[in-house]
Amino acid sequence: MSTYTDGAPPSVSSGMRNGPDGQQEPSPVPAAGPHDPPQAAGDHTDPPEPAEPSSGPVWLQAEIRRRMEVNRSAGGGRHARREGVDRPGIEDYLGRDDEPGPGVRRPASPPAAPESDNVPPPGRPEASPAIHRPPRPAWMARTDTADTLHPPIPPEPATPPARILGTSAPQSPSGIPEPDPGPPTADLTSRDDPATPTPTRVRIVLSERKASAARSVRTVVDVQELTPVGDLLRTNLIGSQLGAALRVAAVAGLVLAVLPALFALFPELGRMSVLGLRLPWLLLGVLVYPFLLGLGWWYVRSAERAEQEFADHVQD
Amino acid sequence: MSTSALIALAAIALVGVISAIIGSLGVRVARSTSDFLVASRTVGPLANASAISGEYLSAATLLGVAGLILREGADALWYAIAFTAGYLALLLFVAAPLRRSGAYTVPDFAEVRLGSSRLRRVCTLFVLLIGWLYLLPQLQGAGLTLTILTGLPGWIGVAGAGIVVVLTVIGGGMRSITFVQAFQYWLKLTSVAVPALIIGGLFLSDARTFDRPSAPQFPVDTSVRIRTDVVLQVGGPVTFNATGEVDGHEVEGQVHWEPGEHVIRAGSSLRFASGTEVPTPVGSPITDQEWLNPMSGSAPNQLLEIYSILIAGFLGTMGLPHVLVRFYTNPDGEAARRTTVLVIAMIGGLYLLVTQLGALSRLYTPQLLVTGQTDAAVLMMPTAALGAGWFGWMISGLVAAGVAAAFLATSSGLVVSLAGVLFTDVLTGRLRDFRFAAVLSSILPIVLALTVTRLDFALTVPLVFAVAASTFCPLLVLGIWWRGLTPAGAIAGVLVGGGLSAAAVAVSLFASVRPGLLGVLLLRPAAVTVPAAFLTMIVVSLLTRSGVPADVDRTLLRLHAPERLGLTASRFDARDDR
Repeated sequence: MSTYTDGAPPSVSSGMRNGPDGQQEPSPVPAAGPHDPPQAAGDHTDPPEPAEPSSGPVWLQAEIRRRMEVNRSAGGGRHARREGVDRPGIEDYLGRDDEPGPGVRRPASPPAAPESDNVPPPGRPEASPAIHRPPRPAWMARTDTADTLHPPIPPEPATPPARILGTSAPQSPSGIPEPDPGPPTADLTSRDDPATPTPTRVRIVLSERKASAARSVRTVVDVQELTPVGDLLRTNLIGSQLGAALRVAAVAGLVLAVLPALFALFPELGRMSVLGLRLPWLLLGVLVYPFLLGLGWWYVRSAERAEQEFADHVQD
Repeated sequence: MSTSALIALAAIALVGVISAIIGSLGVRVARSTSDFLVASRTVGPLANASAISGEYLSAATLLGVAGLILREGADALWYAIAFTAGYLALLLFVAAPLRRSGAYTVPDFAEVRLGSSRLRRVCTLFVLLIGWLYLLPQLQGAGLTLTILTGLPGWIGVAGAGIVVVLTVIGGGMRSITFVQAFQYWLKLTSVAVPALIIGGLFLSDARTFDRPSAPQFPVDTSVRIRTDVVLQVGGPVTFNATGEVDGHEVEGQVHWEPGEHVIRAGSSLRFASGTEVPTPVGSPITDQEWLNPMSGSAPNQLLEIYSILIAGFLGTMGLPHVLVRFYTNPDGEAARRTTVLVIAMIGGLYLLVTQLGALSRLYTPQLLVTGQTDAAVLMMPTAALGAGWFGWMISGLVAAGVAAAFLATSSGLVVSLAGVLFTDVLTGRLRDFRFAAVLSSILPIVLALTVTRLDFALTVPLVFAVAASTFCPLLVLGIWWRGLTPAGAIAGVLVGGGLSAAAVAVSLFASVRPGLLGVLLLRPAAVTVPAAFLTMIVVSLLTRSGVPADVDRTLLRLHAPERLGLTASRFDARDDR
């Protein structure tokens, strides 16, 4: 690992940006030369635009990644531990980058990654497989095994990265042992502790893949251990649930509170006859029950949706 | 004893026997303590929703709502709405998180969330207070039912209901109660739906109308015994025969009333000829036309009263101990939510029918307006509308069974939850026995019900809701949704809200309340006490910010995260192992 990082620095810059994990080092670097820089630039400009159409979840995803990054750079994250050996190299590399500093830049980059997934699908996938092949025989071997496991990925350059993200997890296990000679392995075991065995697989192949799988393990732990990411997810869940409840309560409260006042202020309303029933009797004696039932159903739907979203973020 | 009385008695006895059988069948399934208390949380949503509705639809609300509609007309519709909307509030703010908290009494929840044993004791106190306050009208209602249907003295009904309830609870705890109450809901629904359909059909074929500019008229010659002092009003001149004290004079013979208010002392008996206009209680609408319109009576501050009732019902339902304990029997938070939606449908459907019966009672049993016992409307309708024949008696027996089921369901639910609280929080050592707790929790209200004079359901039930809304509602809502709640704030809020509302209850139960703004607020305190409780809780919590429990985030996560993620271990499982 460290060799890649150290050897690659000059041209890696773009790859580094795309994948916050700091592991992008290896592959993207050499081949990326022509493609990557513009792409990276695009990544940086893009985020705001795509964020507009796809609303809440995207924003949340971005924020989650940002917090995970902050966490990691603070030294608490799994990645920090793992990369301990390589530290100097990484820092050097970062220093060379034209951006102000690691602390500042890292938080900024993660949002870019998800966005870029959505926006320039055609460019990306082409780039990634192409990029990966050339570097080394070792990598070749790895990707080959991956191919046999999951044929779709290499042959489908046009597949949106999102798909690749999804399939990546199972793919990577084969790759792990090879690239990680010493320190990483130790770290892998420690990473297994949380619960899921999958995290280990994720590590090597692609920056995006790593990011997604890392999230799946992390967030469960994050949420349980009340890290900043967990805080975000929890407050977001409670906030959306409370929002849904208050929305429904506001509708119910408004309707129920306005009716007595209306009947008091406009007595003629009370004498109106609809469908053979006096209006107040029709409204207060009959229609109010389906109304309350409808509100209840509405709330259950939105509450369950909010929970599903939360579950998606946690489990991914 | 008349045939109709025997039929009614047989119907009531049948309900008791069937409940006991279902209850004892449940005992075989009940094995561990958790079985006993929360039915192992394996009850399906439909059964659970039936049980919740069965438990919630007390005879007090069932009879009371119909009686109120008979007397107040359109304005009384708000009571049923408030009682139903209470489940919407419960669904929105409490149902799923409460279930996920893994606690099964309110004091339990208070401890899970805030970890304060002092708060736990305060909550225990108010659970007992609310439970006993609510048991009182239930038991007295049983006495009323028995008196009206059979002519037996009311204390037999009170004592009988108390004994059956205690036996059912002792028999099988919550598990059997669940099925008993589910059965009782469907019985109640039938007992209201059948007369509502039959009498409704009669009304439609009759071509009678409510839209008349006069008061309702006695359908037949009617004699009325006045059991409590009443003030009546008439819109036109009325002539009748009376024995007793009327308008301050001893009377024996014909009385002529000019329009205005008239006082009749208890013990008088009045005899009205068929076709005479019915005098109505003071403050309620006189003519049928006024009765049809909202805001029609002459009582002041009606709008304030309606809002206060709405607040009490909307927020008070979630604070009733026997309602809360039901939610622990749902398998998970999502099921708790779906169950609550079902409950809204079931309760709404039943109140729809009760509303119809209440409206029809204006035509068929207007004489109840004179006695003031409007709560008896549903009970007397079948024979009044269908005649004193076998058909009328059978329907009357069905209604009696339904009402008996209503009393038993609510009372046994209350006793279970009270016994649960006594068992876990009060009793110690050798006395720590669930059966003993059940007996203990029902003795006081039975004694009270036998000694205190009965008040209108319309008076007592909203008072209980107001106490619940001013104590447990703020505790639950803020505890579930607000990170900043502290034990000190919770205690202060519960004490302020509970103290104010309990004072209002005491004044209105044991002293006469003058009409006017203060009187309305004493009888319907929720409009003031609920905001006061919320405000106190928030302000004191902000002042004692250091008291926020250290594990508040973990607790909130447990309350809100879906169980299937397995983020938090169920507290209940841990309990089981203990």
